[in-house]
Amino acid sequence: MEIHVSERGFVFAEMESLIAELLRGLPACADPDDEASRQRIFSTPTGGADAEADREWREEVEPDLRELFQSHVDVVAADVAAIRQSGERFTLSISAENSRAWIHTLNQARLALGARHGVTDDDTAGHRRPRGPKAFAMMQIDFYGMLLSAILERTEL
Amino acid sequence: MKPTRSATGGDVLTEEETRTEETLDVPWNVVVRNDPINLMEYVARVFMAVFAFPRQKAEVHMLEVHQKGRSIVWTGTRERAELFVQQLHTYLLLASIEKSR
Repeated sequence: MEIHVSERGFVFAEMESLIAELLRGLPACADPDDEASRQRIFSTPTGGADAEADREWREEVEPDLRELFQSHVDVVAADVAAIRQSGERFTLSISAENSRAWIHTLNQARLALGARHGVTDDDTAGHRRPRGPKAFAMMQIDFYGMLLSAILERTEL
Repeated sequence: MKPTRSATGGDVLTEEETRTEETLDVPWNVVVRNDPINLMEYVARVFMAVFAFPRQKAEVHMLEVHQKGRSIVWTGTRERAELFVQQLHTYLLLASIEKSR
């Protein structure tokens, strides 16, 4: 994979089909569609210590966060739907305008995957080798993290 | 308000004084907790964006989160603390508020 950077944004070129599939799967990975990922993406400000404050947060703040996060995911979903194929290689373009939505969605997907598969510090530090679905999730987390770092390096938060 | 009996036997209304935590205005901490996924550089950049920390201060707090599991990144009124927590949640950090001791 080649990464080209300009003032207009990023171009990820010469991607193999597996990489293109990982990118196409990003919006689904970011979807907090299970309890573990929902709790991580929409954590509360007191973590249960103040039930009333957490309830108010869920009623008054969480809907806005949900809308904001979904708007980022929608931007990314449109970009990955526009991935171009040339022979066996694929190209993704991300405009500078969309780069913050990408940073958010890559991060949200990593966090959702981590929560969904019970990823711990021991897993990320390489102290143990996960197997099965968790191993694939770790690969996704690492790949999305590499993209996140590349975009973050050149984007103002 | 609740009715009470006066010294002369008549009902009077007395207004209970309620002192809220806001009135007392004890300081509140904004706390960020560690998670195994967030990138260290990302966390530092969020601190720079939300609190306008210089990079060195942002990295000190980021390392404290990473090594000690949590860092108090700001202390002040509850209202502002809640606002900062809300901003940190838009970046998906594990942020919470707690009373400063």
